[in-house]
Amino acid sequence: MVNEQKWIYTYAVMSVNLKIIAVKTISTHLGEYVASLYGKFYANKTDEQILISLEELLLEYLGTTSAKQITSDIKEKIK
Amino acid sequence: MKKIIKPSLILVYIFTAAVYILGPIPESLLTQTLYLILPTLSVVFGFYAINSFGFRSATGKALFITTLGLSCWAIGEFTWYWLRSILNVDPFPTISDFFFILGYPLLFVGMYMHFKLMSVSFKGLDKYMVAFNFLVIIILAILVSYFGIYKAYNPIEGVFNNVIIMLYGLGDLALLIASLFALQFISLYRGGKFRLFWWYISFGFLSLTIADILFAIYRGPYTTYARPYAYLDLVWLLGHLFIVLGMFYYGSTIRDARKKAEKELANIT
Repeated sequence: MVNEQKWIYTYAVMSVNLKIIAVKTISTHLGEYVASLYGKFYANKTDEQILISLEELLLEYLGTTSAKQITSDIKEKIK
Repeated sequence: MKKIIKPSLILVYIFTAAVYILGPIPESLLTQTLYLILPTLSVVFGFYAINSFGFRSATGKALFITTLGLSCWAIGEFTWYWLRSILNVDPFPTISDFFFILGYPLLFVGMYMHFKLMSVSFKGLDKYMVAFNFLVIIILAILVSYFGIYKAYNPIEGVFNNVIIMLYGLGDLALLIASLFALQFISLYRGGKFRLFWWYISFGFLSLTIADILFAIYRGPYTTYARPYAYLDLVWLLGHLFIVLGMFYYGSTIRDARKKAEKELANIT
């Protein structure tokens, strides 16, 4: 029971952190308005979906090298 | 919108170049008035890009500082035009030099802010490309230092005038470093839409630096508006054209991203 609660808490914190990091990353590269829209879009998404969506978005605007570098840095941060 | 604006901007340049080459003497009021269009548009589209991006984020602020630098240059051009073409007085050294010189550090700071913001993703850069960029910049820096600073010193001119002339040379060095920052983004953003923006900005800065180097070499004949030295204005204008195209491209790309995000959000609600 304690372990399960700990897992839920960790997962929730990680999820919130990822959303914040993803929105901040979008804000840096595509501006505040786009970031706010993606903030809403990510509201009911899982961490995996957020990461896939973010990588796709960055890939389109920043290209492969940069997108992969940024998403792998984010994955490291939320580990 | 994109389909109209981009060719129109290129046409403005071609028309101005045609008037310079085929029209009346390059110092005519018509030619000098046409010259002002592209530097003015660089400020207009700079604010268009800021408006598209938003001002609150660090990138928005970097864009604002860059546009402030472009604004200083545009003010410099207008005051130069007013003094030289309307009042018929020698515009050096005057308030226009103050604005021209102020533009360089602002552009440098704007580019440095961009560079710092993106530095997290610079690990995967192509080493050969970085080395090539450095080589280009070093060659230009040697030319700027020799013609723009060392050879620019003229004992006949007073100390104040010499300081101003040399400040231009130092400004060019700052612009070269800003170009180096911009060039890194080209290799970093390979395959991404923003790569084109950095191509425009790099070409813009490099064209302006090359024009400044040529100005330092041919200052004498240029100031008499003698052909072909007066065509140096077209190299400066080319730099402004690239910057205008870059700012327009950046703003419109952000606007496209906004529309796309709105669509995606509408699909789930």
